[in-house]
Amino acid sequence: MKRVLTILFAIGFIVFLLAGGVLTAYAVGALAEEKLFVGASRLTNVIFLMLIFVMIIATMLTLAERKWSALMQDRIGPNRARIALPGLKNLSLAGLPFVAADSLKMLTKEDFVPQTANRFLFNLSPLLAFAPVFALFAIVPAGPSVTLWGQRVDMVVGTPDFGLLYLFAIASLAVYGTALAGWSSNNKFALLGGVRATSQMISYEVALGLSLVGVMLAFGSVQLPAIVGTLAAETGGAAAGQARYLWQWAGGAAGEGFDFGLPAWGIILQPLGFIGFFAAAFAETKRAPFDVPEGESEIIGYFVEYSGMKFGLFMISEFVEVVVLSGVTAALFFGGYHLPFGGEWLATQLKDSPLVYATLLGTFFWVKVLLLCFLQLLIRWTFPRFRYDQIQTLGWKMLLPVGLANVFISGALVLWDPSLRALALFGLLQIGVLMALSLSRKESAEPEHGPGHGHGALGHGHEPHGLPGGAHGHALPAHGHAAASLGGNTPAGAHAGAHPASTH
Amino acid sequence: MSTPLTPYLPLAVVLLLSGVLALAIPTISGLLGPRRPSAIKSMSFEAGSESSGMARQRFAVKFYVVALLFIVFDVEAVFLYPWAVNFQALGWFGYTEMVVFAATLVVGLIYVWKKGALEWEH
Repeated sequence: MKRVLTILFAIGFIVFLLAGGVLTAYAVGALAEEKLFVGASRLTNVIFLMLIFVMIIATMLTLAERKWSALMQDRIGPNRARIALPGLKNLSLAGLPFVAADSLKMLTKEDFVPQTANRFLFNLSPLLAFAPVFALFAIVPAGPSVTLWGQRVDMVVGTPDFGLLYLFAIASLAVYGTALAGWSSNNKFALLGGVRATSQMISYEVALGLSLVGVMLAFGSVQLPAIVGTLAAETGGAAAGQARYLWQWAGGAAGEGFDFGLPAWGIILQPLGFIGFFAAAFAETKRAPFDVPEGESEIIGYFVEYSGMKFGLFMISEFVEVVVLSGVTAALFFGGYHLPFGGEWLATQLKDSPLVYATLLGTFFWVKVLLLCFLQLLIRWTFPRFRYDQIQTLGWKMLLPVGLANVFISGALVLWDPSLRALALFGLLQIGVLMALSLSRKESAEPEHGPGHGHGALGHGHEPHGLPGGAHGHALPAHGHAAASLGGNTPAGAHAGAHPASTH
Repeated sequence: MSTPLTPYLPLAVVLLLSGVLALAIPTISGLLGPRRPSAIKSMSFEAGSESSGMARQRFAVKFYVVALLFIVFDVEAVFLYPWAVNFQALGWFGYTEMVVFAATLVVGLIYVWKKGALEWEH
């Protein structure tokens, strides 16, 4: 009981902090618009969204990951760092001092370059790994555009016409960081790790690009604000993007009564696109089950020669990627900052207090982001590592053909029925089939099948291959050799061996 | 919101900021940390055994094949984006053209697949 209360208190505290941050961001944005120049709120958004929200969540994820892995593996996890102040000395504070201790440790470590390394490229590659990833969040809208004290405030940094293409262009630059890190270290293990990482990243980049074409088709745009959409109550016109309903069962268009229906969220229109995008982006972050490039516990990866904060940059860029991926996924597939229903009603109710409205929806966006981050931690610590050939097979033989088929089937359905209802029915059918497949696996799973095929089984559940494999949703780490299904066409076989227990 | 360049100015600021941040963090670390180089420390770390020869050796040709395939299919994806944005206007004619375009590449994928370029087990 005490534990439940503690968890509830922690969740409430986190939501409170998020709401405070969003409130401050809007207020400062409005102030900047008024005092400085038109468009100045975009620059304060750089500070709030990217330096405060993304960076703090990414830093906290380093701790959350260790705590969560400890929970899943029945350990206590990091609890030894203390703050030497009276009253705090004997409290572990849920491991929070580790965040400060780790960054201080990395900052004060000796930063040396191996003699045989190429100094310039060696120093350049952590920059190239971190900078693009950090810049990615700029196009994600994290809250509605509202008029505060006569000033228009957008909770987004940049709204370029090329929208999602910015994401693809900048994200693919990160591959230079890993490739050069492996090559410039002049270390055989680092080189092999770098080659593995590069090959994996470019393989999944194809799937990443293809899986979002369906979303572009459905919403007819590459710009994230257009895909997230606007409510009828906000613009006065019709609701657009993911803010509108596919089927509305209650409430009027302009906020008469509580509106309820099935929202046109990307996850309903494009479940396969979502799974493909999430799997591919997960592979781009190089986290387990796709962590062959790093394999920090046994096969060493491309950053083996790095020490101090240069290693820290590689590590933090991984966590920033997790947050950015969650943000992009929330914006593209989970309605951005919109509520699933009742959005029009809320907007009408809070018409006279735009700050409260904006804070509520902005907080809702960050709650979605945190939940998706949590989903990624869950995947990271549930599934065992794929073998390298399985990674390549999943990328080229599964995600690429399925992504292509998804594009053209979705395109035909959208052309046939521009109201997107046909696409939504097809999407719901896919969700149903995937759920039925993963649920039926749980009952029929044979003992020699290892658990942890979720990505494989999810990613192409309705393909004719008829995947063998364990159930999705087992919370156990792999036990031993799951050798049953390592055939050429099935990426689903779990890699033998226990789950790596290390953290950074 | 006034000039056409307004949406791009914050992006320029972001790109600059990310560069500065990425440069500043290792620089601070270099200033704070000790600097005691030694011959053993600056050897490359290869699992504790002494490193022999240069690391820049040849590696499996499969990685090059993957890189080539990546270019082909990523360019294909790039061709899909402008169509995806305009495809309501282009209608069934544009759709059919895109299917033909993708089909030629699917033939390429099948060829590559049958040739065994995607096999990693041997």
